[in-house]
Amino acid sequence: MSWIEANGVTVVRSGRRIVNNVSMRASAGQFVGLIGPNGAGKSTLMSALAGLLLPDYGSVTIDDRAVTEYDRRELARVRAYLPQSPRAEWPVSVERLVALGLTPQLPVFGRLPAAMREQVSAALGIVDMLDHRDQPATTLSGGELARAMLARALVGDPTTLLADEPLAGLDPRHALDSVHRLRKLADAGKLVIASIHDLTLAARYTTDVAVMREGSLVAFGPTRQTLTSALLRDVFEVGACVSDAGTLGAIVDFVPSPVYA
Amino acid sequence: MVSRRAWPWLAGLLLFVGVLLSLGLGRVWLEPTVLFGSILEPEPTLAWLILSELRIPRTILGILVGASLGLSGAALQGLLRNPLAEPGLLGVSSGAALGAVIAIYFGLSASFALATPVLGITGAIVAAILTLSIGRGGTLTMILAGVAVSGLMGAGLSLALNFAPNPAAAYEITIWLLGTLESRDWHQLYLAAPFMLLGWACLILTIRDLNALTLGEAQAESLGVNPARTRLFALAGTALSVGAATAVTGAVGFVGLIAPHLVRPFVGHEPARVLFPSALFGAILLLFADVATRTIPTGGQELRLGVLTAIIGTPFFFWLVVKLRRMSP
Repeated sequence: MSWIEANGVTVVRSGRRIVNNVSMRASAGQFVGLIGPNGAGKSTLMSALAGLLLPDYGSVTIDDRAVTEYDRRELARVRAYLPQSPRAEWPVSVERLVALGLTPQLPVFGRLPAAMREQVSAALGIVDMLDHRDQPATTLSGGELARAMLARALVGDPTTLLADEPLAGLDPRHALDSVHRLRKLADAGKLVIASIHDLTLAARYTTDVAVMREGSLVAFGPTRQTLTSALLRDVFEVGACVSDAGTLGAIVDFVPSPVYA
Repeated sequence: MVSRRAWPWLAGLLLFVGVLLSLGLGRVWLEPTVLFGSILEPEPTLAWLILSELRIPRTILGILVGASLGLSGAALQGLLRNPLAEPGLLGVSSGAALGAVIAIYFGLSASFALATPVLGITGAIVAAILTLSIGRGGTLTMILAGVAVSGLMGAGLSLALNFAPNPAAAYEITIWLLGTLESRDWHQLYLAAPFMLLGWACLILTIRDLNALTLGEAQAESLGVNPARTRLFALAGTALSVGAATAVTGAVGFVGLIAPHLVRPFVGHEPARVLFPSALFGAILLLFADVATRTIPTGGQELRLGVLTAIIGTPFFFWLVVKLRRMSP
């Protein structure tokens, strides 16, 4: 059973605590939605959890070992990280793009070994992109590219997936598809942590929410109990109305604060 | 359109033809029979002397310089994920040029022939260290540092021209800067080759990382790439190989920019697949350009290699800009 734990993680940039003393623990089977207003420190926390950014204080532990104890390549096999709106820099085929997710094992030259081709196919199958296998990645639409990148993250079969705003820029159908897929991954036994701005989708599909404001973790727990109108009003400083959080019928709506004032 | 399977044969053929032309053509035209005769049975004939003392080192140097430019151009385009990147961008070429010009300026090259390449390589390494130490921390900062270092080295060059002790020195510096493979002998080859090969080794070590960078820096890093190490190796490799090349030939532009673009239609865009073909085409380009400088009738003065590559390279650059403009919205 894999898990990830932040212990007093603090990141200081030019004297400001961008992430302030965040402690949390999540384990396999959970789909944690990281929510909070812009500039709350979500991306920075994600980078720290992924071991890409060394916190100034505190530590991150994945499966009993501090991330600093992992070799870079070893860490790459344990957790996958998807940054905000990832881009393909060269027009390589979707198959090669996804295969790059196997970089720690990938032979530098020549064709893909048969076993890796199967892994790539399986990953493309999960995101429903098998038809685009030979298409240059730079010609994909936004939704297709997001799916290809998710396949890239999943191809090495990591136990933990950290995705920074995986739903940003997707139309409603693709956003629904993606978030549903992330939930299915968690149900299949992976740990998924994703920062999400669409709170209705977060309320419907996440198992847990972690709520950040001004660098601090202000709430963390099961979506059903944690994602309340009062909390959102407090964190986002607008009137919020949450109904049926933690169910597929959940709706989160915002209204200008004077109504609630 | 050449099929993907056929291109290695085409490249091999082009290289072979280039080598033959480079050995055979010049002020003295060596018939193919004489050429092969001299190679098979070395006798101290005039033909053999021309071959062994002039044409063979010149041809080998052409191949090494072209390959260095092509290889580092491909590596830098992969590293910076920018199709307009080229070895000159990081200040290495101008550093090498400044070093060499210092040797000419103080008359060191007159008393000691290898002073020019030795100081040239030193200049390239100094420029690379400057770029790397100022531009630490990111790709963009590294490009900016490279531009700044290029500017600094360029100012040094202008200074040398400004205060040239006499018109002849100024002329010698100017001509040297134009770049040529003319009258380069084995000594210069022996001096530069180890640096170039060492540089190639550094560049080849970055291949896996360059591929992963197709996904952007953040994802590459999450996949185990150490960006600082990749930058270090790419820059050191460029400094050593292109620095050594510039130190013995003078500034030869555009080959490093063009070669990767020539091979991409055949081998695809993955940096690892572009690297070696680009080196090969860099060598071919330089060989043919060098042959052209010897055969284009110019009445006395030889057309300089750097001038020719610039004349041919600039229209290509325009084409590239137009192509990129069409691709971007």
